[in-house]
Amino acid sequence: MSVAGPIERIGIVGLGLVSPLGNAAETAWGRLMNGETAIRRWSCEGLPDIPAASAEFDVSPQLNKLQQVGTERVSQMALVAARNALDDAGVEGWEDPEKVGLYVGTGMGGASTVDLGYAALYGGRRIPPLTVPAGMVNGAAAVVALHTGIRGPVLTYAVACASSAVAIAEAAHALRRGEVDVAVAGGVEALLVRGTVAAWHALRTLAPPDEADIGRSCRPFSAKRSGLVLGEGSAFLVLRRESDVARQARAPHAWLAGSAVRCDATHLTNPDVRGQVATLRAALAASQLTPADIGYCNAHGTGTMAGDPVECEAVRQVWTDAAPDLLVSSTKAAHGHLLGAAGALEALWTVQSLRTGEVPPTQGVDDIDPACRGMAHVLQTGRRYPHLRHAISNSFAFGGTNATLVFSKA
Amino acid sequence: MMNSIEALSQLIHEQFGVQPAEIDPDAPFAEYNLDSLTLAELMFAVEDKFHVQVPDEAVSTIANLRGLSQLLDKLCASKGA
Repeated sequence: MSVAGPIERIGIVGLGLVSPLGNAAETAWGRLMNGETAIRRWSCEGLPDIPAASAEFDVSPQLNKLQQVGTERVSQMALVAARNALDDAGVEGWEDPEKVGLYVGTGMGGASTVDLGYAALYGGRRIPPLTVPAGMVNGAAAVVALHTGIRGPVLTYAVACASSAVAIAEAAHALRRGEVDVAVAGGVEALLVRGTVAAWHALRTLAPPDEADIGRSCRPFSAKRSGLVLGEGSAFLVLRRESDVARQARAPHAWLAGSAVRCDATHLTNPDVRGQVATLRAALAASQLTPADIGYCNAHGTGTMAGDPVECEAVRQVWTDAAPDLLVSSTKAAHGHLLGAAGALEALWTVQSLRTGEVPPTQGVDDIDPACRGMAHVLQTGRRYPHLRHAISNSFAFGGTNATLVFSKA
Repeated sequence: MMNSIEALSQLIHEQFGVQPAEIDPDAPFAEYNLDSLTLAELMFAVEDKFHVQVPDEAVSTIANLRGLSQLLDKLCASKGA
């Protein structure tokens, strides 16, 4: 295979979110850097209390009551986050709406509609008439397109915890292929409902509440870690080709230098070092960067016993001598695991890192499991790192699909 | 007692936020932005509120509020009989 010339970078020209840490990027970033946590006690009839991170938002400025019919929580969240991203990018309308693409990652789509619908049915009541269109997995993408006038490819990626990282990677490819001129890419998840939480609980991957300090229930890389904490929210990036960004007055927030998606093909849920190593190497190669070029890794780091050491081993194998200098953190300690939205939210933090020259911490953690050592973990509060040039964000999914996004300072 | 047009206007207001003053009983539902999905929701709400069973075809055959109120009156009368 011949080596092509430099790969065109993709500019991140807008970002928006609805997150457990807030819905304004700067404010949420400040809270993250301060080591604050959005993890709270979550109670539901029929279930033990769990720690979880919920997101608050108001869709009423965008949708009146009539427009909210068939627009369930996950779709409302996506719309607010996508609109925030478009506002940030200064988008007021589309020159050619058919050359705008929308790439949405979600694990479970309209979980609350499905949950409430089946609960009604099994409880002897009737299932509501809009359960199908409100609950379908591409419902959020459809709603965002409907209310923003995006008429190019409108796609949904369901790749569990890698969904929105894959969506961003695919959006960049569509831009490089020339299929679209603008891409809105991200993800959304809203599954804090009884049936879905019960299913996660049954899998025995959820952290129990830390009764001493509920906000420290998710402890990635710690020897005291006890599982993941579910979160909800949405994040979107607005992407444009470097050649188009160059004509704009405003510089992008950061560049997406490259990405890779690979599959372990070994187990439904167990992570695999070989698959993650392959993904990390491919992402660096696609970005034409070496491990030593990367200053920060926003880790997948869910806080499970099985997952964290595998990710750390994969990073050590790829970074080798450069591993001790690589800053690493998992922001899931602060906002939980947003599953299908995790890749997008964490991509947003990675972009913020490059913009500000600051690296966020793994909050609430004060010890590192020996199996997770060998890298420069950022703990408790964030750290200044003005020389940060390149950073990665990892998203490793149930099902074995791994995605790594590589970002560069603009 | 409220007539069925008033009761249905009130229900449409509660469900969808449409002001009763905007509702002309003889105008097509679409005139005040009730589409096929909204009508499916409306029929469901009518069944719950008035304890009647609206026939499935009503969503496509009933064109306006007056038609719906006549159907509701008929359904209530046959229920009472």
